[in-house]
Amino acid sequence: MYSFPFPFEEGQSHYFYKNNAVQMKNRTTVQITPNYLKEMKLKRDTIIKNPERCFVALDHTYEAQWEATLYIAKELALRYPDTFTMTSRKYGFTLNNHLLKEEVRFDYKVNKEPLNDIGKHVQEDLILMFQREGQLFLDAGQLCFPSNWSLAFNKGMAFMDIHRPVPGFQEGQLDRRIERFLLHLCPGDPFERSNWSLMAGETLNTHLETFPEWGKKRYSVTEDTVGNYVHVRVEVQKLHRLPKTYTILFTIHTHLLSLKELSKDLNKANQLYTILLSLPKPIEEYKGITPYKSHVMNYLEGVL
Amino acid sequence: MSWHIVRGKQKYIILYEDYVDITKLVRELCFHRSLLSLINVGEPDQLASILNKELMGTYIYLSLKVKKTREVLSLLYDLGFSPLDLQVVKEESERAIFCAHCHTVFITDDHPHAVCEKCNITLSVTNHWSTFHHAFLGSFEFEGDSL
Repeated sequence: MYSFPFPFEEGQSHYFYKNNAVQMKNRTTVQITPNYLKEMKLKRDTIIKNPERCFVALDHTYEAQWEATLYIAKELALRYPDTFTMTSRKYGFTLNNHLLKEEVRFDYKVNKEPLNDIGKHVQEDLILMFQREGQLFLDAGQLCFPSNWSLAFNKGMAFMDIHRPVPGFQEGQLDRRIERFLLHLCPGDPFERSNWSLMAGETLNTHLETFPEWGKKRYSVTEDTVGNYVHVRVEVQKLHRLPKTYTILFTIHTHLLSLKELSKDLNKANQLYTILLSLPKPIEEYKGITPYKSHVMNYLEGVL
Repeated sequence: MSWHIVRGKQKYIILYEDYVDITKLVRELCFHRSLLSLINVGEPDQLASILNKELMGTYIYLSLKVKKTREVLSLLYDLGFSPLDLQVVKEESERAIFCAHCHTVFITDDHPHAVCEKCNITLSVTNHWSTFHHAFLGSFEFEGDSL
């Protein structure tokens, strides 16, 4: 049964920034939700229209891409046996996707971009981080539903360099502590965390490249439209260490829920309100909430 | 010009052009008693054959004009050097910008805004530096709004 992943801890009443990753109980990588068909169509359309925004892979990443592909396909067949079946062969496998009514062959070294191919069957964005010289590098990934960042720009960059613009990320050496945590991830012991923001509109594919198109929507929020138009955006992020290539598979599943829907639960509406009250200005600006925050606060006050 | 000293390497090479002042960088590397070679960048073929003979543990500083930097970087990557083996000494008078819209990397003066030479979009130049593209992110900006 699907439920929106509300991002705040029970009792949390203030914004704070920390490594909120927790050990995963069910050890999953991906999740199929009722939006599957709609999101797969959007994902595939986005890839066809702008492949260079959605997929990158440096030359040395093939083995890790293949390992991640197998890892995800096996999980799909095991967790969703009515929806996916997998038939193994000596140098590959066939995946039957019953929801999309597709049969897809995956062959080692024949599929040139296996991560991109398996990504077309899951709602998650898929990022591979490679460890060398005590750092983690984003050397391959499929990204269709980013929250205002560019995979093409971040390609080949170290974790620390990617996150340098995030306000507060270097305070108290948080960046180093998170990197250390990631470097010590072990196979078979995955973690998950959630990241949240608000957004005007219901657009999943908010690439940095298209900011002029969707960014202006933030200025069109009014008191009348805020409830239906502004959405809480939650990224459920899962971190798995792949045992053979020792790469980190980082999956991001983005969920949206309108303020109106969220406010049906007054406790959640109240928690969001108090956390927004305590949000530091630089974080508010980084999340892009500033242009319409007053409308959101007024709306939540009205509900409460 | 800005750089940082990476210690513990077997040997350091500075690739430079005549009109770029590398005195301070040389002085600092000498202060750390490092084995140092200076190479004035000439023909790409000669440079390739010289660098091809370098052993593991060699660390390269590129103190070149931005356009030349990009040519030499591509040569270094072809020779098997990685971003961890080198550092671009950043020129303060001109900068390489990565266009957030079309991904073109272009060179411009040191100015807070730049117009992409391919897609003509006006970009706000951020201080987000890519060690892979060797360029700053040029992003979008609405009035009263910053990324």
